Amino acid sequence: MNVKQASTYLSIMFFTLLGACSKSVPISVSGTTPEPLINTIPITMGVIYDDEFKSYVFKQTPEEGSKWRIEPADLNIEFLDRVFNTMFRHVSTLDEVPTKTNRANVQAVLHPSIEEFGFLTPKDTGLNSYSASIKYRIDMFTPTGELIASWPIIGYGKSIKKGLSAKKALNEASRLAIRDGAATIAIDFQKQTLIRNWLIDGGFINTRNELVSQ
Amino acid sequence: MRTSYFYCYRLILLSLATALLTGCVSTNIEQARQTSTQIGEHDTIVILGRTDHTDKEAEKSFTRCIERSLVGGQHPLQLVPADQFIDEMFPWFEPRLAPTSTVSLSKLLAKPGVSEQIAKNNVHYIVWIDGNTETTDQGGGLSCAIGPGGGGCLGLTWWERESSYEASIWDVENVNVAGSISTDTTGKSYIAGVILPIPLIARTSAAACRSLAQQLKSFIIDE
Repeated sequence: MNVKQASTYLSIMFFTLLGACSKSVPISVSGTTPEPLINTIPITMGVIYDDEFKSYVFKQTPEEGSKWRIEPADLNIEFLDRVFNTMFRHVSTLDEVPTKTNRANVQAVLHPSIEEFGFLTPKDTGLNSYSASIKYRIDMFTPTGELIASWPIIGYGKSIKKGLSAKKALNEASRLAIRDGAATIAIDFQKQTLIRNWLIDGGFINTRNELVSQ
Repeated sequence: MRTSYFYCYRLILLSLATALLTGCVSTNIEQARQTSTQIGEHDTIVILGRTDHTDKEAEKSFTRCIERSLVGGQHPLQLVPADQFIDEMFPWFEPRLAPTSTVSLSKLLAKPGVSEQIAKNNVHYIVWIDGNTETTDQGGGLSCAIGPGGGGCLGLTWWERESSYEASIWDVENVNVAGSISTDTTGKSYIAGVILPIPLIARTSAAACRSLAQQLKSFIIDE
């Protein structure tokens, strides 16, 4: 065995041992997505789920215990799709934010992103529950890419640890955080002053927040 | 004949074991009625646990226990499962959006589609369950050891649990509070180590569920 071969074997052994010492627990957040009971605004909305949003992974390495790797992307998109498809008469998926030269054939564009994700275990808080929070930012653009509004949304979820494994409890808390975030988006959209003004100016709603039939 | 003796013996042993393994539980239940109640043949009820993102909230297992008790026994009631109701009403019954009073319920019912969805399920009453079960005190000590010649436990450990819950009954048809029922159940559990560990567990949560469900049923059918 020459020096090169020996160093290769040693490297393989080192990384195998390292992997064994720092076990990562993946959680691909899953759950059902109910249809919202909300008004449909009669507009065609473009929605952008960029690559960062579609492949978002949250990793946490505690001082002791298992590493956590939470993958909320699939449920995020499922929930937001369900909410947007009920909120707007037509929804069209776009690849990127439009520009003046690359105008989108929609009335407005929503670009959601995840700013923060975090969770706390009973060990962190001394409480009897796991909790998760997700902070989205929703940017809304005109069809030519001018920013109409940008607002943060925080979703929070909690799951009592009783009878659940840490993995299941964290999945449940993350699922509830995404659900809470989606519920807040559905309710708060029309309450954002800049969006409300844009909807009134466009003749989609009146000043009493009632839909104008079109 | 031999078989019947065997079953009789087993039954006595089982009863003795149950009596031994169950600790003492005391329940106090109070009811306040504000309006009369009645339930129609097709009317349904929803049992919802009040969640407020704090550590102290009605456990899902407790609300499920109430649901099971209401659909069984004498005068079974028709329920819409909580998860189904919350999904169908999404997002209006999510923890931070759920109505906290009948005034906010009345505002919610005016929103498009909400009263129609409630009518579709024939929901007459929403029962909000608030409260929790917690350990209020504990003490004693128990040690167990095992060696080549055998093993055993010695000592006595105990803990006291309190299950406090309140059910607030909302009449959705008339948009008012029909009344409330509260239960306070306390119990002391022991594990005595006399070579073998002998547990005497006071199941306060189960006792609170039983008494609250029984009272709730008679409240709604106005017995």
